[in-house]
Amino acid sequence: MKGHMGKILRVNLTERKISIIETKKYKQWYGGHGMGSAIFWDLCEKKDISGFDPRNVITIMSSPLTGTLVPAAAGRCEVQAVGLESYPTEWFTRTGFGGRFAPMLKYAGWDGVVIEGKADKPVWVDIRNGDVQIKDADHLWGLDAWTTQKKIWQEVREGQVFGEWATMDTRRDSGRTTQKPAVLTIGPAGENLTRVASLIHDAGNGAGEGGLGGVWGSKNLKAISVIGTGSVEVADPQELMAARMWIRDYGINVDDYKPVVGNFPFAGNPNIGVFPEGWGSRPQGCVGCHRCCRGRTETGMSNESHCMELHYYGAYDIKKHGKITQANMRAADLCQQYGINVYQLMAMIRWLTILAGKGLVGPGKMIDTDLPLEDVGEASFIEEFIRRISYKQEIGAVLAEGLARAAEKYGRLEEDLKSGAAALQYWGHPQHYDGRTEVEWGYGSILGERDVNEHDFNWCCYWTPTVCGLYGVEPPVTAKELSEIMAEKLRPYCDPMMIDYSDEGIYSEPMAKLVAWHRHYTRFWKASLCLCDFAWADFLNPNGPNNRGVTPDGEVRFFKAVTGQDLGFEESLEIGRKMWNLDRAIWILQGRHRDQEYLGEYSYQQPAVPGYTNFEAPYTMTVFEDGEWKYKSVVGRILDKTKFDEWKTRYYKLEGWDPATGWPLRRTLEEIGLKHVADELESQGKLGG
Amino acid sequence: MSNLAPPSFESATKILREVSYEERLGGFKLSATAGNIPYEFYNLESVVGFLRTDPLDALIRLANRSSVGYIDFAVLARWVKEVLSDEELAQAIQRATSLDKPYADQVVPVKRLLEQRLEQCQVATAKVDQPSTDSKLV
Ligand code: SF4
Repeated sequence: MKGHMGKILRVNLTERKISIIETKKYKQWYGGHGMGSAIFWDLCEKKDISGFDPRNVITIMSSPLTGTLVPAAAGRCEVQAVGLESYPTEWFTRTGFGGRFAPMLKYAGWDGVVIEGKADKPVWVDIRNGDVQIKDADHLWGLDAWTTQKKIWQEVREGQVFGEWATMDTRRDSGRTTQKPAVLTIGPAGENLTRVASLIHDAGNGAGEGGLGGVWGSKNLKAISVIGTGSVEVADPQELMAARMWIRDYGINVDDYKPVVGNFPFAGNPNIGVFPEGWGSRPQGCVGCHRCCRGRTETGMSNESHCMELHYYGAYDIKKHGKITQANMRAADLCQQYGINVYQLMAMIRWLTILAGKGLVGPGKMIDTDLPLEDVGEASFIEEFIRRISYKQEIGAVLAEGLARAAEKYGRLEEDLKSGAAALQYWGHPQHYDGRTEVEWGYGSILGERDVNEHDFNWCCYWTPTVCGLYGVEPPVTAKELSEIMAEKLRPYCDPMMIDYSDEGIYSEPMAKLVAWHRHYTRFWKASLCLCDFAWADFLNPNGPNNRGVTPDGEVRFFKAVTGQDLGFEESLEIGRKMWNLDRAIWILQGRHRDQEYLGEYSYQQPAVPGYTNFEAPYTMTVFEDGEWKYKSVVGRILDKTKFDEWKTRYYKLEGWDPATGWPLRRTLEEIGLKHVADELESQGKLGG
Repeated sequence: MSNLAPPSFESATKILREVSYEERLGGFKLSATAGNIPYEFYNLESVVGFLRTDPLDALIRLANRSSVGYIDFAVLARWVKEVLSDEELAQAIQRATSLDKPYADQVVPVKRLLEQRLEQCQVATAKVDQPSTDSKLV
């Protein structure tokens, strides 16, 4: 199969040893997540270790599409290991980031990097094409993520001028580059072993969920730098160009912009950001991306940050100053420099302000701290807050454990999970979209190990109709038309009822199919082939014929052009199912059982409008009621635990898992080529049935 | 827009006060990418600062750069009446938020009402010795 470079770098930090894994050994896993899980399965002998354990194995993987012309796919990178953030179990987990690290890795000749062991002192890994060295990082330890990268850029290209040609090796045609190295690093939050630390690359690419920055810190691994001068061989360059030209009409057209309200993945707008009024910015993107969802600002603040980094502090800023100010931009930059996860920061600030409202926070109080909560919204507050957590100072020493463990330490967890003050809906991860209303998000997260953070159904079934409703405009398609589009695209099920988010629909068999489809699709196409979540899947697209997006034809067309392999879409979902089952097996060896798979308690208990707080935002979704499709507000819903349990049974049966335990059956695993996994589960008494 | 009668010093003090945890008001910042971020409000001033929508044009052109500061207006009116004891403002909010208008069209009138009341209260509390003139506040 074309697209792979043929080798995976294996770095043993304990022995300071470099070796090679041949990619073809794992070719049945295609790349990214699938390969990472399979390598972890093989190399991490004991699966139920702590994330801090030196035996923990980190995989950093590209995909066959990385570094090619496939749009919104060339720049993403998949990272896996036993994480630190999830509660109560430190699940084997995944995170991802964009930018130019993964393509640079391939241009250097590597499909991925595997990290084992623990260095006896701080180190960084220096990759220059095939030359790899483990180097002392004493001079880097203690530096923030941006300064670390600058130091490494200077060291690797010492005496050279950025932008001018540099010779990296002796090959005549491919030994030179104008690029600086791509560096993935941790900041102080990772060095100091917090559970909320991110991996940072360039100015604003953060891999935050799972707390893998702390895993790096525990291994004394400060950074990995890579510079490569090669290229990726694709099977059919002409067809790849043709596919890229074909898909151009589906993307954003700045010269002929269709004024449609909503958010559309492939056709989505460039340059996401929440900037102070009057700030100029221009789009910026990961390697090869047409969408360029990040921004570069004329002030230089918050460059490349996007999504939550630019939102988590915004409303506090607005509350304090009446508008977005530099405080919001500074908050974005600080999380990148310290290398810290903004979802946790946001949930912690909210939790503390709620408890402060109850008179429980302050000097001499239950949560004894002199943190100036009255300054929330100011840049000075967020700087102090992040600094204390990153260096484990004062209250930061407790918050560095993540909100769930911090709340537990203060004896607040049970009560605050019931009330929603600690809005941790899935495994101690902060609520992102609401699992009570948009259930595919919540169900998928609790059946997995983290906030899924996959917007496939979010933008078309929730955000677009909701925002259209708030503004009094018609959505681009009716709910019935959307159900028809979905029925065409959600192969092999092709069931329009899969997007019925009504009170009955959320516990139905079609909803089990939707969650299964979503888990399998994203495991293969997003996590393993590294298609970006902000552009794929593309169901509803105002630029497409009859508002149809490119999924599933686009995915398989690009895959074939790069790899030369004729992969049917249904077949790809089966491979995704195999990956999902391998992950499940790892979680089961870590202790997973169906009895644990419940969303945060407030999801079943908290009425939507208690007193003057409303724990749900407006939520207009597709529902099928009284024989017709409509967009309807489903706000105010709490989940029925008994019905959710019945739904889980439906889901487990659909997946071929034992409904009593949630563990896969032998025949399920064997049918997807995982006999060795079934054997291992059986030997540990954890095989379903 | 309604002309609200100026509040007395006592009423204004009550309207401007920091409310307790049980009396707090909830809202959300909505955006296309980051999820719905919940916020709690403990005074009128922070509600005024928070309440906003981008114009439709910005929403279309900027899509996921735009966001909405959302507070349920029925809940807001109830909060104003029951917690801030400002029945006149509560009624004015109800009038400004007729059901047949979309949320985005209701934000500016409601925000103006809140701003007007906030300003009145700030004036009233700045003149400590001003006699009470307001009988409409419960
Ligand atoms: S959509 Fe954004 S995050 Fe995704 S690949 Fe493009 S620039 Fe990167």
